[in-house]
Amino acid sequence: MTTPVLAAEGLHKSYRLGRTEIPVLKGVDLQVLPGEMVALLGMSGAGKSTLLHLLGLLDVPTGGAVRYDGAATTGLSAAARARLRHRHVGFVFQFYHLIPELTALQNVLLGKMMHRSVLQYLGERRQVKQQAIDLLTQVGLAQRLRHRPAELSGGERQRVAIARALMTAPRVILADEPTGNLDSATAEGVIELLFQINQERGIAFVIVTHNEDIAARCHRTVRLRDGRVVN
Amino acid sequence: MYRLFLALRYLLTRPINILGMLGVTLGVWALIVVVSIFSGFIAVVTEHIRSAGADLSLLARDGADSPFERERPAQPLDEHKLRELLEADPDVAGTAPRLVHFGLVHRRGHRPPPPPLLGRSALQGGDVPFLFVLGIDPAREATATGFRSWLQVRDPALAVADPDDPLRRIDDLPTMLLGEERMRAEGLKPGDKVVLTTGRVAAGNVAATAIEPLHVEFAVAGAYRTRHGGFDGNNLLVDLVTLGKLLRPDQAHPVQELSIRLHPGADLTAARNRIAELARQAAGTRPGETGPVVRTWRERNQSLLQSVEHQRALMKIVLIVIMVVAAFLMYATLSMMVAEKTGDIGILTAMGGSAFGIMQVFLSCGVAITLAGVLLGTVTGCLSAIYLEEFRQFVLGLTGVDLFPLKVYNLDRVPHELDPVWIAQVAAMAMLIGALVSALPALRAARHDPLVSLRGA
Amino acid sequence: MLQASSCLLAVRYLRSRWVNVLGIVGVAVAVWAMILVRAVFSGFIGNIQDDVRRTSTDLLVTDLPHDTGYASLRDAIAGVDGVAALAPRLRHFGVFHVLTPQAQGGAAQFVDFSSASTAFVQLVGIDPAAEGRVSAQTQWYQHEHERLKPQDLDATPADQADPIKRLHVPAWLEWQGRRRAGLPVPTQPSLHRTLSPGLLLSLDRLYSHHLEPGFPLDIISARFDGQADGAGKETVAIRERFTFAGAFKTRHRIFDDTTAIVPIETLRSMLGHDFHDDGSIDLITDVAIAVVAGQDPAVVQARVRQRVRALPGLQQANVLDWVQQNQVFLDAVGHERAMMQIVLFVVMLIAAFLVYATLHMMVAQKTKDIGILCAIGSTPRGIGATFLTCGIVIGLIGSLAGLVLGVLSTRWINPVNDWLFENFGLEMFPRRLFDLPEIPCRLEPAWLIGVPVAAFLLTLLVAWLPARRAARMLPVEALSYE
Repeated sequence: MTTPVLAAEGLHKSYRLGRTEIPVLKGVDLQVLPGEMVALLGMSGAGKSTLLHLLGLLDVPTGGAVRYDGAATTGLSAAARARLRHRHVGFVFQFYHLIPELTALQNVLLGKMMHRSVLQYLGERRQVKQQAIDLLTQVGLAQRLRHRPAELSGGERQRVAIARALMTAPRVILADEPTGNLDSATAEGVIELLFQINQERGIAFVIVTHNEDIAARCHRTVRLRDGRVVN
Repeated sequence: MYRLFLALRYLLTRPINILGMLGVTLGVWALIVVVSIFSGFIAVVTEHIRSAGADLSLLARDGADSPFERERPAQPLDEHKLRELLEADPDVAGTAPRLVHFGLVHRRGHRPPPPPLLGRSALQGGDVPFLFVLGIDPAREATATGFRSWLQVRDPALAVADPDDPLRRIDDLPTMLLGEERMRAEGLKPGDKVVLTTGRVAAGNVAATAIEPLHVEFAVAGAYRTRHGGFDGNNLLVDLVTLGKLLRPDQAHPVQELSIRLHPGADLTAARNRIAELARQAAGTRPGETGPVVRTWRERNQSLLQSVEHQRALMKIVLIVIMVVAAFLMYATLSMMVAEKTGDIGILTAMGGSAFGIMQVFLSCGVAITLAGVLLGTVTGCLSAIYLEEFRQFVLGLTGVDLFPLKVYNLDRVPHELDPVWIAQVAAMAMLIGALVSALPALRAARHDPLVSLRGA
Repeated sequence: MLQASSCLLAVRYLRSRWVNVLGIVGVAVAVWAMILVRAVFSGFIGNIQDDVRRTSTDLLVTDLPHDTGYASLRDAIAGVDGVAALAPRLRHFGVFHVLTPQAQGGAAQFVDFSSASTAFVQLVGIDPAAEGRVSAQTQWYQHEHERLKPQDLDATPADQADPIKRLHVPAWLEWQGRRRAGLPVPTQPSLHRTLSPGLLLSLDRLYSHHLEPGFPLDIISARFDGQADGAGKETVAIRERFTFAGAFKTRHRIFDDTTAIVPIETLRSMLGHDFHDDGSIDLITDVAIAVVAGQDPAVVQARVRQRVRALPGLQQANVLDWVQQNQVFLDAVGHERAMMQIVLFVVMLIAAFLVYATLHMMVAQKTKDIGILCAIGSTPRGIGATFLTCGIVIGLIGSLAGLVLGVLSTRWINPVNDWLFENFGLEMFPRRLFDLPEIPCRLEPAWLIGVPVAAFLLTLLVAWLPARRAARMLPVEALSYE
């Protein structure tokens, strides 16, 4: 049996609000196999985004564990989690979350610039830059390299975000309602792109969505309700 | 109402504004403290100078500046005539005649030390063997200077026996008053006999104004003390008539200098000019001659006062730099606040807030910050100026570092003078700068397109 | 290790937010003010130090008891390692009086201090031949382009009756001066022989008293001596006539105002130790010493002190270096500079506030970016580095700009001051007041390096606080920040 690229084992997460403890996730088990596309469905407030943040090591679970390629990530320092996140996962957000001061190309390059010193980066500059241009070309933005996020449409921005996520060659991409803010025609294009990437590169996806159509096209669908996985 | 409410909310929820306020506080504080020290220093020096002198001094002087181009030697003042003229002047409160000479005071058989090295002597003198010998008329002197108060010295053992007649002869010897510190340093007591070694311009010297040596025995009457250490160290006081007889046996009542006190509130410069004209007429000065000269106390101490006042002016310029940087700080915090609150500005406009109202919100933020800073700065500035001496002693005790060289300037404590005009100027300037730098971001906020902020781009 | 992403972001953030320019300007203004003001103050102090130094010798043996002779001290000191030359000095007090012609023959008159023909003076007796080797005295006779000529200071004329009384005034010059003063003179200058020893006064005195070389002057003083009636030693007034021999200018105002230089033998004679008398001693009050170039004056000072104090009766003697000789002057000015520095430090402090405020706000506004960076995998350290880099750039540019501006200002301060005066009648530095031809500026390398470095470090410190806050931000909260 293949090791899941991403696994959640009995994940618990609760937040403190004053004196009361509000549980959001109450024991979530989830396994994502290499190259698998998993759709994560659930009502608003079911804990989808929290789960995604935990999977991406942006947050620390109150209980349970997240495993990357079978290795536990519990007890790692913030810096270690950052490095693991950098190597293993990519994020795509509903609101794109691009850095407004940077051009599309620079936003994509940002991933590669991390964990490389200025000198190292300067040494590999050409190669890295070509890689970013290739990625942006692949997502259909060959003509928009020098544009800033404010000069791009919503669909274009999301494509830049996808290219940025691909730049570090992650094993799995966590997408938080990637089409939630797009009109249906544009959304269709973005979804197509994600499936295409999945097929070409074998990257696993966890896609949070409300759209049953999208969920239906995925390999597997997981539903969250009240902090638990229901089937 | 909402404007005030919002301004208050914005201020309280953003601690960074405290920084802007602190900048203003520091600036105002420094402006007040430093200038108050300098003003205090000037005030103390002025007070010292004035305690030891009269408002105006009329000096017997004649002919051209060069002694070789003089048509005739300096003539003694016709004191009786001058006194009549001066006392008719409405501004003159009192006059006192003086003779100015020099001399060396020593006990018999006592050898004076060589003069101190220049760089090791007291800046104000008091340790050189030669002194100025002032011939005074005690009763008249008291009407023109603070002479009566000079006789109240710290050490009662050195005080004169009879303050009403301080220069009364002792054992049929003429008497002298010495500065208290000098008297203590020389180990003299009232009643001690000393010799005044001096010289006088010989009468009947055929060709040139040569000086012949002169020794006179005096008794020490006691000490005097003005607040001007430089005066006390360098002057000894003797009776006018006694000195006059020694120096000019041929003249009945010679006078070289006239100290004049004016009524409080009199115009110093106008009085000087008027009295100078009177004196020239009385002396029969011909046109083109210098004649008797009248100097104000300020003119007689010009170089010292000017240099301190200039230092204060220079310090003010440097202090303005503080206000400039503090203004930058205010501007930065406020403009960032506007930038951050663009969303709120959109909402406010959508709710019907006018551009003017929005401007008022941010302007009142700025003004409130400045006001708080100015108030805090003024209060702390005044307090630190007042308690600077305590602070100096604290630092001195703690680290051994003396922040202010009081001894150099013959001061007891760090001087300070809080000038209400200067404090008001500083406060007004700070408020103006504060209002100005908050007006810019406030205007920007008012001009802001509400649609842009609502779109949240 | 600075991450490439931190570097790129820092530059972009700074460029897009011009309020940061204010931070740079604040730091620059503070550095500029500190450098300029310090340079001017150091210039003033340096000027005073130079002036004071010029009037001082490397070492000075002083605090000698009354009636100390030179010979034994000379023999003791001359052999000390590091002593290049030495010269005797004799200080005494006096009042000088310019002899003036009297229009109204025979009438007595007052000594007139107000017209400055009479004043207190400190007489310094020197041995002209030896003095030139220990002090910068030859420089005292140079003022701007003018050479202030003491009459034959160095040369002893052959016809001089008493070769020991140097500072010789040529007969014709003295003849002229005496005639103008109304003293009896022969009909022809050629029949006149020099009568009085020469005396040097400062150039300022020459101007204020309208003196010309050759004029007769009286010095009134006192000496401690046996009296004619044999009633023991007593202080008696003495008068000696001198001829004004020339002017000097050291630029040290107090020295110039109070000093009269006379030949030491004349002063000794005045004080009752005439060279020709039996039992006279070569009286001195100080010994001026020049230290061999390259030797540490402090070491030589200690050696000389040890040697001098070993002599009988000289346990209380002191050996002073040039700073100790001028303690009073140097102390007063140093304190003013210190006070100015406190004021400038406040400027620096507010500039630091400014940088802190701008960076703090930047972190607040960039909270979402921090979340994004976390999501892409930036470490907390990388995020902190981004904002710290902003501070570094602000500090670096501000410090350097302040440094450049400061150095340029010191170069241009005099033209600007001239221009202000010529066009607006404003004078920032009244030169008359300080008796200086131009505003002195002195750039000290230590200060030029120290101030920008300190400003930079201070900026770094205040940038570190917001950077740390950014690094410690929780990614989830940062992402959901609106």
